[in-house]
Amino acid sequence: MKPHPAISNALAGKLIVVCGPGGVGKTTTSAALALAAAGRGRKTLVCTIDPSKRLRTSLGLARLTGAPQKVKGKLYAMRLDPKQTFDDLVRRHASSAEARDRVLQNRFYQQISRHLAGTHEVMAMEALMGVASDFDLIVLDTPPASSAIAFLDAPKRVLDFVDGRVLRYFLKPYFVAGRLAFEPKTIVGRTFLRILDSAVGLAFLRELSEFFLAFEGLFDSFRKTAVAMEALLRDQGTTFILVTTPSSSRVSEGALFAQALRARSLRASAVIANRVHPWAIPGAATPPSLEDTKGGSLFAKGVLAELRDLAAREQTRADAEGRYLRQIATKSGLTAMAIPELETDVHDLRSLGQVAAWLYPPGPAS
Amino acid sequence: MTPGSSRKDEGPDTDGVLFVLGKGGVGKSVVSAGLATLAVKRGRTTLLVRIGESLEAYGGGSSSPTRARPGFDELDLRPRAAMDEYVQHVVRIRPLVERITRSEVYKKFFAAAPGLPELVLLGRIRAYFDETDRLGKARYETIIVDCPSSGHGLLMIETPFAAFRAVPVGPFARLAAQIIEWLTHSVRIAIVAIPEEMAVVEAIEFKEDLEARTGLRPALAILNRMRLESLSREARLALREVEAPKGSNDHLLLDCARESLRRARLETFHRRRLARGLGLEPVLVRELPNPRPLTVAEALVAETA
Repeated sequence: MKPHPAISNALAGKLIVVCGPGGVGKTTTSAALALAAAGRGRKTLVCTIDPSKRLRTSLGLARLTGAPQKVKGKLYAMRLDPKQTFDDLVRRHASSAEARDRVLQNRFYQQISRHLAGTHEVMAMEALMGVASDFDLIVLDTPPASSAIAFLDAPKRVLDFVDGRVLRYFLKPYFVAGRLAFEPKTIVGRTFLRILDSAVGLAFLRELSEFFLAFEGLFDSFRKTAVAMEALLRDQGTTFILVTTPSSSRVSEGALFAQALRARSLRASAVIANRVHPWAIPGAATPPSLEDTKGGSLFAKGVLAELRDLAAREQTRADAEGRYLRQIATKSGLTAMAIPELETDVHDLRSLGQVAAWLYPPGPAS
Repeated sequence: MTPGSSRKDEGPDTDGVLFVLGKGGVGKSVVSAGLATLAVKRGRTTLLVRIGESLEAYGGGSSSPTRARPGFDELDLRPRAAMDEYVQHVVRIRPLVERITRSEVYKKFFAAAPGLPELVLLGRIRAYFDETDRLGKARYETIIVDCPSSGHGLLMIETPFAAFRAVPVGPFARLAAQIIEWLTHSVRIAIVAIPEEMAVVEAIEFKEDLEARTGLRPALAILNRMRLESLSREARLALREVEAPKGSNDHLLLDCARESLRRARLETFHRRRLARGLGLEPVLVRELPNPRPLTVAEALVAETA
């Protein structure tokens, strides 16, 4: 088997962004891609958010650390902690120790740094950009998100948020000292304030206002990260890979992902389907024949029928997965690759190597 | 349960408000639709609320249910739509409402105020729960809420508790307190998982986080996508004793059966682990080639019978 050009090209680039919803094997696929790249002599870093304990151990990431760790040969791994990165950013940019503590302890900050849509993604990029120059290739396992597209929109969302001009203009003058310092001039402004007061109360607004005041100095560095992230995503050396599973619910997702990338002029390289029934992948396994004439003399009649029924149900599952795979490929217009379901969880370098071999078959260097 | 009607099947209890939670990709949405369909089959007036994959402040959705068929309403609820409706309720002057809800300040405030979208959403669902007709009969006997997946779902439920702890006075706190009361006494929580390592581990962690942060506990566990294959005693004996030549069709058949047996044992392992971790025996849902609300509703009943 020859390596697929879509994968070869991605491995020859500078950054691979591995997208996909949670639970499809994104981390494993990222690690396998990095292993394949390291195997062809490129100094590669895989950045992952939350690897399973055993994968963490085999990648040498047992300790919580924000620095690249050597795994083996040219393969390095780094564990990302978006909350930690965010806290570090606050520490670096806060004007004083008091300002720093005010931000870190504010409950809005605690909520935002944990949950605001886009912050995890941007923080992942922030951590990554700090070490990018040391490596030939970085494989970024994107944070678990509900949808594959969430990552692409992260910079815009964060920019929307930190574009606090509107927000600060609105909040600052009115809530200083916890009371309305002056009446908004417009009827919309006045009515809106009245609604807010009755809905959430001025105590709530005061805390929010305080947060923005404390956070003010950080907006700029935040914006810079988001802008740099946008630029990096558009770089010629950056490709996107979608990880998926062969099921009905994933078909439209593949199409939406490809569409979203095209709309943003970003470069998609492939869809990788994980945990595919081996019978649905040509060359991965040989399914038994269900014909009456093929063997069976070793079994009692009832047992033979039972085994054949079982195999028939298995074949139905495999056929369905094969169908979904083809649909994912057709509807997304992307190269679709399949990794057969392995008997065990992928948690060591050997089994990672098996996955890598499916994505990038070892052979004469191209 | 409403007087005069009773459940005849053995499936899970679908009366009242049920929040359906689970990791992404476990079939939470189709299980929610299956539960709603089951409630409709039982003669309950039912509302299926879909919050969708994330608590998006912007875009889409509505805040009024559409009738799917008699006795069954559906609603794609988005925080923004619910908030707009709230503004409308308070202001009442339509042109002014539009000017407010279209203004940048309003949009940004709504997106940036932590906890507000979650509280507004929960408040809206609670309002459906309280709605009655002129005779005082509840508009909905069953409300199934298809929640955002794991982390976001937990965040949504946790918000009123966190908000109340942070600012225990004022209208915001009163709203939070009312929602806490409702969540604690009138809402049941269902956790959906599939027989896979990550999904089961996450379901158990979810239960622990939920309890630690809110004191709430799941009332229902659903283990979806179970193959539930079993082998007869004779077939298992054949697996041990028959030696088929390697590469022969018999050998392939035996391999397939062995794999099936291995999987069945794994399913049992995950079922027991989930039951132990949640303190609940899960309702099993058979793997369906192309799951639809109706077939899932049937499957929800079949394995408990």
